[in-house]
Amino acid sequence: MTNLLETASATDSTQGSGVVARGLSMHYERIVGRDRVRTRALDDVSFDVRPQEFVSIIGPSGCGKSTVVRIAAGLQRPTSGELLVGDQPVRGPGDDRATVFQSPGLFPWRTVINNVCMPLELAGIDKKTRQARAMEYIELVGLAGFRDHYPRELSGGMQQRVGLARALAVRPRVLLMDEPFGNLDAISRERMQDELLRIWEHMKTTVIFITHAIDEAILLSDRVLVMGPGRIVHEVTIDLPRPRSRHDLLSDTRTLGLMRELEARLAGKENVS
Amino acid sequence: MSSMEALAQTIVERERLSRSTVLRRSILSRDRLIQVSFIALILVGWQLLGNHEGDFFLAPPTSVFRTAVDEIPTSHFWSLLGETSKGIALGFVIAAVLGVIIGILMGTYRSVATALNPIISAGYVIPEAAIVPLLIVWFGLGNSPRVIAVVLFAIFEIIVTAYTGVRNADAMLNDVGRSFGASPRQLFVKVTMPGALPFIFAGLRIGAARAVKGMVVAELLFAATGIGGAIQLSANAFRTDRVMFYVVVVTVIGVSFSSAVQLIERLWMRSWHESYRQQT
Ligand SMILES: Nc1ncnc2c1ncn2[C@@H]1O[C@H](COP(=O)(O)OP(=O)(O)O)[C@@H](O)[C@H]1O
Ligand SMILES: [Mg+2]
Repeated sequence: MTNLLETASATDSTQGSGVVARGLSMHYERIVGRDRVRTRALDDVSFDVRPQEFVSIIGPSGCGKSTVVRIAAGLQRPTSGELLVGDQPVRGPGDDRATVFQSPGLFPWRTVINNVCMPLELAGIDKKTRQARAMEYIELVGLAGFRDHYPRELSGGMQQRVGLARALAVRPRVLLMDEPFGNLDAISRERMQDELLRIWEHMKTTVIFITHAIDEAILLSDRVLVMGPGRIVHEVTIDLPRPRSRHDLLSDTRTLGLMRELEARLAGKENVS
Repeated sequence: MSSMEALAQTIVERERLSRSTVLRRSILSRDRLIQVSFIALILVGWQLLGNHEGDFFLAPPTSVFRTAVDEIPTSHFWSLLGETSKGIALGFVIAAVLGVIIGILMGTYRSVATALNPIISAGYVIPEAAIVPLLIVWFGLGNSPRVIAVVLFAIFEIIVTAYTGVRNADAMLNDVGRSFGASPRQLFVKVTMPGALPFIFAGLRIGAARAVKGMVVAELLFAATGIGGAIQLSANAFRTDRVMFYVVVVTVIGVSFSSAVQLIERLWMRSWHESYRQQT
């Protein structure tokens, strides 16, 4: 396994890029009856992610987490403000970023390998190269035996692994993950967290990770941004040593303090709304 | 180190069945037995009733069979069959091509959908048979009004399903495609169309069956052409045996057309057809 990870990172030419959000706002307007209703999904959100940093954004549902990801992925334009990836303003999707979605969003008519190949196919990489590269990442997530299976033949956790492999195969400078383990059962979720940790520690890509689970945020992140409705209300640095494991975390006295702090910040924000 | 190996891998065993086992399973299934018995029951009932009522009112299966043996070798029968089938095939192909294109355009461009929706909705509910006399007035008794009738019968179903298929394109998958940098063209070819294909084929299968109906209705109203005409003439002569024989022929044509479409569907979607089926 270690060998595999080393190979993957050796062939991996990418380095993480920094991400800067400056005054991001996203307002939706619609007419309901005689009223104009304006939803401020994001209201002046700014943050800074260093190259190769793992940053989680945590917050209750509806506070605008997915909107941040969609803007960063280039799927939608903010109403105002801008988002830079490695000093370049995001104008649309690009292969410097890759996204793992909450519902894994696999193409049901494509096998595992062809799902992982999809982004490479779109980029016009020739078949042999892309299949070899896809296989590398399928092995990395432990699904080598399932390359020719269709998504519905896989469990939820396995599907999410395919989604992860597909995003990694792009070799992105920034990996965007929108509650990727939110739909998984507790055991699968823990396994996926462990694997993501190990893969990330070898890959050196920047990660923006959306979650609403405090323990998940602490285990994975260098820093946690706490969101309230449309805003970032607090920032907590996770000063736990790396490489980390679930086990280390349980025995570290600082963990409890971090949990309490995040819990309080999340609860405090509820009063604001 | 070993947590990845420890990943639970469901055990799936696959074993190729022998050809004879496959054959036996397909012929001797319980479902098949029920179907065959039920059909046999109907035939027996029909035979008994027919014997009682006489050929004039209800020709029993044996009379229909005798008529079939008489008719099938004649060149007259084959020219009727050819005339009708050719019209159906031509009309269906036109309806399929036009219908799929219109449906896709409606699904892709909102303005096209907005413009066409009222017409399609109307076309969907109008009994096409009511229009056939108009077609005769406009186009005479030649081949074209019959083909147009077939097109009218088949096309709306095809348009609506193709439209639905494109519209139903999973927004999530569309986002996935876009996030990985798909161009609008790539999105259409690699995301929208594969998702819409099952719908499109379902529409074509229904369309094929409706094309056969369209042709027979047109022929019945025209009188004296094709198999529909033959049904009309036989009915006028109170030859219920011939009417029934031709009804059976029409049924066979219909089922063949639908099966042909289904075969194309299978070949086209071979790779993921099975998994698609399992889902639905
Ligand atoms: N297309 C849209 N039109 C109107 N409101 C939207 C739209 N998309 C999201 N929103 C609103 O924006 C807010 C933030 O949504 P989202 O980013 O999905 O939240 P989260 O991911 O934190 O649950 C929600 O209140 C949601 O209802
Ligand atoms: Mg969300």
